[in-house]
Amino acid sequence: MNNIDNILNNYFEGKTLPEEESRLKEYFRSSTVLPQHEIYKPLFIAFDKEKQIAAPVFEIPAEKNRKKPFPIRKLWIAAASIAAVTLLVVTLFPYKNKTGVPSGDYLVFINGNEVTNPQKAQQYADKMFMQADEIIRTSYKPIVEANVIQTKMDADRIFDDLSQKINYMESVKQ
Amino acid sequence: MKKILSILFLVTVFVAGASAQQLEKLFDKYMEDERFNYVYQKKASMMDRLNDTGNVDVWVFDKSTTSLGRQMLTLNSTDKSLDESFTREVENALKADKYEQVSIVRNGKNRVETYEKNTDKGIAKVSFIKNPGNIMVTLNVYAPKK
Repeated sequence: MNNIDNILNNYFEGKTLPEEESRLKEYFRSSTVLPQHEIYKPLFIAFDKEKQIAAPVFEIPAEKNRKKPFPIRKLWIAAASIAAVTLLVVTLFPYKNKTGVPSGDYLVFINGNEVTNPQKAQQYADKMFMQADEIIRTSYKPIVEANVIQTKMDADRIFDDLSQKINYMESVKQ
Repeated sequence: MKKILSILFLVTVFVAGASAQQLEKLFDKYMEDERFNYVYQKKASMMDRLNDTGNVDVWVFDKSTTSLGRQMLTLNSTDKSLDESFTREVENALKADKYEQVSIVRNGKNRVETYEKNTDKGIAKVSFIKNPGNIMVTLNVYAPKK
């Protein structure tokens, strides 16, 4: 048993040979373990169990294995290029739905609510545009009238008209 | 490569900034706001254009132009400060977009201003109606017929 003690001492100092370690494992597996050695028994049994656990084999699929890893730098450049092109396309050919040009002919929001019925949207749009036109028409009415008066009161035109009338009367007299 | 990408990015940002019209942005900003009413017509027909008899513009009746759409934003509010801030926003947008003022008509407290601008598409015309408690902005875009 002294021998077992010596081997154990060497084992914990890391000086045992493979044969000696095998002998220790056999000893602790047997039923002749001395009481003073019982304390080490779980340790060697655990080592035995550990030996039985096989590490799972991770198989890399053959196809993937052939591929080279994609460099992060290339990925970054590709992503940046896609982002830049997308931004350019969106900028140059803006697609507007809710925030601009709709797919339909009319887009109407009343107090923040969209009029989804196309006919009602058209009716409301026409009404609103006509209302705005009416305001503008009313506002510009005095200017239009002033322009008409100005045209009528144009001295050159009045003299032209008069001379035409005089010429006509003279031609009738003759 | 990074330099090229940086330049591309800057060019993109510049193009984006240049093409975005401030007035159109204003329409986009307030179209879904519950204090506003928004109307957009994709293409005004000739009949719609003939209805615009109040407009002093001769080119409205000009058959050589075609409508590229019109939109209108209306603010019906009793909040004077909102009226003022919106008016300021519209004026700033018109200034930023370099619209030329064509006419101003004042009738008591009512005021109608018209603006226009030549664009790469044609002519953009804005009517800005400022009545107390009722502010309207209309934008009409016309292009020469090909």
